[in-house]
Amino acid sequence: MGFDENERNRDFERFVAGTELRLRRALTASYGPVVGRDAAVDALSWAWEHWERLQAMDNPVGYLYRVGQTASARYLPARTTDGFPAAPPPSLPEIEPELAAAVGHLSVQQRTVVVLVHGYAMSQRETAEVMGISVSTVREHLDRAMARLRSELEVSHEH
Amino acid sequence: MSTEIEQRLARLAHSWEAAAPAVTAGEARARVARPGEAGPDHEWSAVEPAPASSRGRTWLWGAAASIVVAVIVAAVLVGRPSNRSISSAQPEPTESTAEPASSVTDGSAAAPTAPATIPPTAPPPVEPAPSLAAVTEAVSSRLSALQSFRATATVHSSQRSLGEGSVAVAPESTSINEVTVLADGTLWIEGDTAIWSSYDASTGVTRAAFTAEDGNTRYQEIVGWTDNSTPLLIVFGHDPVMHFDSVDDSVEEVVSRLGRPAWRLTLAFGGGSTQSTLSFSQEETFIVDQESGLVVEYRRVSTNDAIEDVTEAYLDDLQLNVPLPDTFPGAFPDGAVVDRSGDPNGFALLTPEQAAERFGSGFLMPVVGDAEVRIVFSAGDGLWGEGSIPVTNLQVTIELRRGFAKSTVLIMKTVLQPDAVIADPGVIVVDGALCGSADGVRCSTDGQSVISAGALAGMPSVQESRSVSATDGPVQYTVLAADGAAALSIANSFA
Repeated sequence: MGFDENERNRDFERFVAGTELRLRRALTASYGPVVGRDAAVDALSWAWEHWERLQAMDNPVGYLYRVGQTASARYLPARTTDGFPAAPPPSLPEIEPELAAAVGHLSVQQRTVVVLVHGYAMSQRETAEVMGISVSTVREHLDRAMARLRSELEVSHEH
Repeated sequence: MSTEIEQRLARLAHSWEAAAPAVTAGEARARVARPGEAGPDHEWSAVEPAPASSRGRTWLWGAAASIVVAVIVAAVLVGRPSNRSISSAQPEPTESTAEPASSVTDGSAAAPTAPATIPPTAPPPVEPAPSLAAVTEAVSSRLSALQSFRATATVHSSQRSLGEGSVAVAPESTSINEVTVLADGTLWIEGDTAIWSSYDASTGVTRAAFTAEDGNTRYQEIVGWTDNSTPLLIVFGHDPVMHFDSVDDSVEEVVSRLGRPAWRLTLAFGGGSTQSTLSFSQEETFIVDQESGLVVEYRRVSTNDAIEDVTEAYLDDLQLNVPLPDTFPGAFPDGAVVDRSGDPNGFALLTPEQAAERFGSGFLMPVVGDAEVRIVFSAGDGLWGEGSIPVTNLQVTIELRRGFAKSTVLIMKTVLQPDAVIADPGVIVVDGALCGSADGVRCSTDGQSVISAGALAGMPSVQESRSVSATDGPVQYTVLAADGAAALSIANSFA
């Protein structure tokens, strides 16, 4: 392995260390843990394969999130029809089944935003960056998602 | 305040976290090698990346762009260990005596001269903390008068496992650079990260000379960069020009850093509303120099899945209103092989008229006053909604700057790509731009307005902290300023 390849490996490992968590959480929020993780692996493998292209990007994580979205289509048809698993695979504990179902009824962007912001405590700005959308769009999805979740889960009033 | 749904979402997310373990770099590389599996690349045209270099070339800032976040976890270069930690409320008399002098802000650095050096002031007594609003206002005022600064920037990073038998999981690392920054974003860097490196905010060109692992000096030039955020975050480890809009639960204290009066602000969060059920937490501490308004010391401790990342960054030898060195922007030796890359069309400073012409319908300018103005246009391909309609996203970024105090206006809309067809009845085209529509005629942009004057008066809009967002049909406007009043003032000034 030559110098450039060594350096490329090291840079890629640093990149993965710094971005993997956000990327995996975003794709997990979009497609559930099984498909989301697979999509994250695909996105990062794309990153490795197109490393030089990625380096020139202003928002590589946002780009990889969308690579992961594309990749998820490969895994989704066998598992779900609407892009989100209606129920966890048998190997996963069924935590919050009612909430998981309600989250599954949201649009992909709504559930991604609501899980990232309220589930993983990401700021709206970080969420906007990883999804490649504006902060105001994040707010809009968040408001609508929470309204729908409150309605579906019959939570009458919250502050 | 946490809510029941937020708490439940945190529990759900935590269970997913456990079900989706971390992806390693090795796993990602291995999937590339997996036979018979096409990558997503061939389908991927939603985002238009800048032109790429050939594989195997070494890009200092190109690689750096991808590790802006990683710099928080693993520093750019290994070397000198850190012997510093963030200052407490106690003064540091020993260091203050050794500290090279800072200079007086004179607000005239359009043609800066040699800095007027003053000795560090005597450590002040610890005083009652001012309000966050007072600190914010003071910082904004100081930054407005600051035209440039030079400092020695140190970034130290470490990563260790928590619990019994705590061990380092990554090498500790430290980088030290001397950095000169102008208010418009122009940079000059010398030190560990590069022999020298520059970013010219007027041309969008970055240049660098650095020592490769084989000991040879390499040269690089990238064109088309719209801002300095990538090198800035790497060499400083934080943004020295910080707006504290998100520091809503901080405690401000008057402290002394290197003999100079400063404020300390802290921002902490952990696991959203159910801290006990999530393994992620983070605390950031900012020490703000009262004379300049710059964040001169920064510490971030984040814990995730029993791994603690610590980044400490600080500025020494701070000089205010200094000129760029004569060596800027850096010259390549005759005959040197220079790696060149970037998008020649990726950056252009525009006049308001040029921006209006490129953006088309919906372009509005705020009142500029005596601010310096920097206008950049960008366009990128994407997909509308759930990914069915090929579109191009247009954005004009208008920076209104007084010294380092900057307000930003974003004007955005989405247009249909040639030959693209809209099959969704809920999407319409208005003045050439797309929007969602409930009735098939008008954009669905009902809502209350916080804007009472100017061309956006009465338009659906919302203010949050120091930002105001408004929608006028298919065009979206976002104003980000030093504080909420300034943002609203700009939002009320569009014409």
